[in-house]
Amino acid sequence: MPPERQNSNPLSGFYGLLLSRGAHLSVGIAVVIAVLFCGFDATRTRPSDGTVWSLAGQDLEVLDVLPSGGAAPTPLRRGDIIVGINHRIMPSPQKAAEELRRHEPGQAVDYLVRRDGRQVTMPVPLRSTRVDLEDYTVNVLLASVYLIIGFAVFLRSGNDRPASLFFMLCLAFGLYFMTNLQQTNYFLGALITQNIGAFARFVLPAIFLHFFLVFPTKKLRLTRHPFLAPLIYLLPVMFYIRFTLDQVIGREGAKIDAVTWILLGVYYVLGLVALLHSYFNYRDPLMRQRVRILTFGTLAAVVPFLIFKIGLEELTYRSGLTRLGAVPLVMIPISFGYCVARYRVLQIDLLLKRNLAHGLLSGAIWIVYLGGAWWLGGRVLTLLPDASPLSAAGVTLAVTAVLWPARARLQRSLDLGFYRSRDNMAGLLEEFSKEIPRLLQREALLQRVGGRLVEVLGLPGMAVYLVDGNDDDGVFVLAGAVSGGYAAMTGTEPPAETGDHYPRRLGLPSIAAVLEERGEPFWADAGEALELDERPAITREQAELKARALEQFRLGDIGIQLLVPMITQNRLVGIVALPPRPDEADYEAHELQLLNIVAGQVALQVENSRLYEEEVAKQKLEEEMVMARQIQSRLLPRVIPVFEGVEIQAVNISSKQVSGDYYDMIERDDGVLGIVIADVSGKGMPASILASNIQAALRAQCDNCESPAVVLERINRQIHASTDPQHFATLFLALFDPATRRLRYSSGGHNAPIIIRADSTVELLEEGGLPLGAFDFGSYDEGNVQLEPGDLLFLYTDGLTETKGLDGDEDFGEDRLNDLLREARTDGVTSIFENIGDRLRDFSGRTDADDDITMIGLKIQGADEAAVANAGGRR
Amino acid sequence: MKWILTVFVVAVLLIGAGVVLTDGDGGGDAVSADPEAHLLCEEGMEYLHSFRWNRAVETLSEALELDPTLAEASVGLVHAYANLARGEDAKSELARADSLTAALADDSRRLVAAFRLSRSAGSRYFSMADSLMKSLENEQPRNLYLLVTKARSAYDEGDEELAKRRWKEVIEVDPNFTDSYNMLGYGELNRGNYEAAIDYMQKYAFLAPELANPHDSLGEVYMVVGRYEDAEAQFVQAIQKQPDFYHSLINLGRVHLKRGQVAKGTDILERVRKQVATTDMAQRVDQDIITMYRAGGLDEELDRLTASFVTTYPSSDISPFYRAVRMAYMGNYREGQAVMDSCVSTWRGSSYYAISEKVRFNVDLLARIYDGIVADISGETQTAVRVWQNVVDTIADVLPVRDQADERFAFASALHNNGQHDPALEVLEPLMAVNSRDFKVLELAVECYVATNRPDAARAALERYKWCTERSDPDFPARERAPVLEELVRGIEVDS
Repeated sequence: MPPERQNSNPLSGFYGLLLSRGAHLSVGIAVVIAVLFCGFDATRTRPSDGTVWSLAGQDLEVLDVLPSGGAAPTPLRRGDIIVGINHRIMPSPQKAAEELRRHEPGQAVDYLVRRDGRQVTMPVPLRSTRVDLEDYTVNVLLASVYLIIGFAVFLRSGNDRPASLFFMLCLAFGLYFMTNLQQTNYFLGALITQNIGAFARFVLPAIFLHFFLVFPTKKLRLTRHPFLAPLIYLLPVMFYIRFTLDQVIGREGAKIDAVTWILLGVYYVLGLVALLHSYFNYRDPLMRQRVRILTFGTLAAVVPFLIFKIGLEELTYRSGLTRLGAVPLVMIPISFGYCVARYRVLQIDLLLKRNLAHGLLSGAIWIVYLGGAWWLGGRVLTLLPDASPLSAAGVTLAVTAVLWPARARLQRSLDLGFYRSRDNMAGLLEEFSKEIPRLLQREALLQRVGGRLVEVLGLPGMAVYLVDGNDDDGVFVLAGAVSGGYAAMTGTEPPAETGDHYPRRLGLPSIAAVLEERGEPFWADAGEALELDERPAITREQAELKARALEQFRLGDIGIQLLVPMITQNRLVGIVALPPRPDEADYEAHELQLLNIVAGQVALQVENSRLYEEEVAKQKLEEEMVMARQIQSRLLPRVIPVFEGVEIQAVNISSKQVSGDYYDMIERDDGVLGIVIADVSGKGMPASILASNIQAALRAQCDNCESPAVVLERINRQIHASTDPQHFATLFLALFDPATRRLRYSSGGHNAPIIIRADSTVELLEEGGLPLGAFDFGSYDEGNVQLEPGDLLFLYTDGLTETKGLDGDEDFGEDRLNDLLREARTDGVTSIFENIGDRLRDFSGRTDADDDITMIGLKIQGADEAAVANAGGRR
Repeated sequence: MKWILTVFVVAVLLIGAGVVLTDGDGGGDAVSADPEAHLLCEEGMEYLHSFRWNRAVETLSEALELDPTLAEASVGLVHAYANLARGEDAKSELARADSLTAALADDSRRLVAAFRLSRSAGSRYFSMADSLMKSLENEQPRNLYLLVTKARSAYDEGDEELAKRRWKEVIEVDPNFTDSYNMLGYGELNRGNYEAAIDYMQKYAFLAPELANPHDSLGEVYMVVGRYEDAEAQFVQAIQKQPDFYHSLINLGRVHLKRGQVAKGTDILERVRKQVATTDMAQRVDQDIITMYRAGGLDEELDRLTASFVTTYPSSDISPFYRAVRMAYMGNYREGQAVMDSCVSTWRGSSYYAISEKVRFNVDLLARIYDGIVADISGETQTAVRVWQNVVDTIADVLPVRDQADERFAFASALHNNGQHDPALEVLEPLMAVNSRDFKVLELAVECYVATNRPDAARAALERYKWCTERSDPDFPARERAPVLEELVRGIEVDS
């Protein structure tokens, strides 16, 4: 992690620890202990006088009188000070509780009470804190269902936030049900139970709301503002703090008042709204079906709870409605359990049949273990006379620790028997994690990983498709395929391709979008697709669904049942296509998990591989460019020949990409000057080589041929024979006699050079033929021009006239060039070039060129100009 | 593996802590190696502290059966037998307790047991009472029995405040030490804090529901404040719990007399007399009733009972006094004086008179009181002033102020009758300082203030008087007297 990230949030470590799986498991264990304690507490017979006492201060004050609930009403009133119980003065609540514990519920005990400033003695009937057995049994059953489902979800899920929250929700519900007791506040055990219960009652609605804000879809607002989630818990925690303080310093006893209940009820309502919002915002009916049962299960559970438990029982103090409010709550774990098993929501592998047997056997191991620890602990304790509870706890702990390795070994054996395949999967994942990063060659990677997957999953074969270049149309190209036969080919090189029946290209635009969005395996043979196909598509959404259904049919036709997305950096780079299993069995969830993980790893590696190849290609290109630039620079004449009365200048402006512009000045022995300007098609090295060939041929031909047209014809045939037709060149060749100022020329498809006469008239040198190398049948015409003093011959390549303007649409153009040349015709050639350069920069708004620009200027000087030139020392 | 080792370490620590704590529990406060005997002994002591003598005897005897060396149980039995008036049992148990205490190896336990026995005459530790108390003060200053002894001493010495503090210390150590509430109740009653006295007595009654005495004590407080109905109910309860509890029977009769139900009152008292006629308590009961008749001005009944007493108990030391008083009431002052002189000279000739200062004090005081009674009966106010002053001078530096109440009141009345109102108030002042709500004293004080034309002081005294009477039953005499006093005070207020 970079240092700046390490220092960015000092609480991140703590936060991470808080949200870790270990922390959740610890909470789960603590809750189980609390639940067992509450269950044990429920079996205790604790006589109560039906009041709430002040636990602080010197006086034992009655803070509140609890509802009698069918028992004999207590004569005690709020504000009474209990002075003595059963003919003993009570100096503290603890002593008073001890005194009450000596009695049985149903007995009447004499109380000495200070009331309105006077002391009175009265018999107070004692009642039991135990609840009705049937009611509590219902609560225990409900708590058991919640805890079993909660733990099953947690243990079968990864470190997934919704699953963890669901686990916490189940734990809170478990505590809620187990603490549904008639409470007193003066027995330590009852006090603990009461506090656990209060905590569960306050925190439960917050977890409920939080869970449905992240499940089934995480609300965008929560993603954007992560601080909102902790804020949900702020109010309940404050309620709990107040409740705790009320127990000690409160004047009316600790209880959850009507306002608090209403606010907690609002949490539940908001949770339901969040759930319904998610449900109705699913555009995909398949996704909606996945959560339909649990949505309506939750509604059916919480609405009666809100009405009967909170609305009637807690707010209007109507008793006897517990079951009406509580029993429907069982719908939550049951509906979730169903959806987990049926649709694998929460990404959970719940193998019911195997789990049942495994659970029973695990339970048997635990019973034997705990029973053994209990028995052995008892034996050891007999050796310790007068053992205190602490010693007993110590002995029990020691014995459980001694027996733990044996239990763990038994459990391990059982787990291996049931979940060997899962263990294999874990090993396989480790193997892939080590191997995949080493396989940079894409083909080797796909063959190796695909072959191994086919082998361990027992598949008839599989194929890997990669996104077609940067195409966003959902087209995939077959990158590799393996068949089950490879499994037997150990020790040999994997075959290049063994899945011939897979099409080379797959067009799956609709499915690709779904795969990229969900990042989950996609079942190509979903039964709902058929129904969708039969419906008319009216809306865009329906049209999309129908298109997807069609794609699913196509996949089914070519024997693909399952697509696993290869996603990296939130981008779909390919898919793993899997056929149905030979035994028609479903892919198991842990196998899907494995495929998902491996596909992710392969996607990353494929992407790395692509980036690597691109980098190599880029480097190669750059090297070529450097070389091409070197070649091209060697083609250009190092020195421009100088003739009396003639000013000749040439310039080549290179762009970033080396193109095929080229010019040459060939001085023949007879004093004639060959002027060449060419533009070879293509870029880089091929263009440079072609230019090089043309230059060699030209230099050879120009020396012994008076006709430019003939030279071009010969070169055309020569180039055509040695290169493919895509490679050609436009070229202009002129033979200029400085003595006579005659110019013979021929153009091979090149931009016509311009002559600006002294009187500013413009002539174009257009005689010639086709570009060189394009066709083998070309013939070339030849032109002949007499240049006079003051005339300007200007040759150029198309990079000049095709330079784009600021708007990107308009070219610099020949008209603009002609005008410019006419204006500058009296200037020297160098000045004209500078002028053109300035105009081009102004026109394009850039300093660099899109394409190479080559210009040659030849000006016949007048008498004055020649004198100036001679004075400059030129030859 | 790491965490298995961790569990082992925790387990070892727990076992160690358990063993240490178990040893601590066993060796610390246990008075017997037999846990059951220990528990029974503790339970028996609780019964003892709550005056449940029979239960205490049963439980402590059981403890001693289980552990015959349990000295604490034996000491407790001594006190239980003594309170049950089982003299022989107490005596034999005292011998055993002495020997068991001497055999105790634990110095601390031996010191406490010996200290408890030192309060019993006949114990080998009786003579060591003072030194044992000092040792215990040094060793265990918060020991319950030490605190109880100190509290009783403070009460006996008349230091009401100190006694109150001491008894509260006792309650801090043992909130269920029954007698502390009884003593605190009487302390508050003596100071005129009737509400607090009722609270304490109610706690006393709550703590010892099987006993008659708490109800009797509570009834007495109610009777003082004029809540006769409540008082009668408490006395009845006391009698129901203990039919031979003659204190409550007498108090029941007294209530009726105070309410003007003379026939009913005397009838009850006569029945009490008959009930106890054949017991050791007969003479004591008669004496109590005679005092009651004299205080209530029931001359006829007083004459009859005094005659009966003198006849029934001719050899009693007090008989000549009663005979002399009876003659005075009959107008035979000379004969009465002769009887009294003869009686006093007889007393003064006895060896007790020679060796005991207390006897001398009582004899001399009784002679002077007789003179005062005669002066009051004869209406010789100046003589009465002189005689009663003599009496008060005699007791002023000897008895606590609370025990001087009758004599001081008689002296103040004589002064008031003689027109000496300011001196009368001076005599009453110490009584009002101790108990600012004594009706009899307040009534006399109001009259004196009115006579000396001091409306503010009269009003203040009257308000205190009325505060009490407003909470009393309608037939409470002070309640009838309140409007009269109100008229008197208003009279001087108008004048001023």
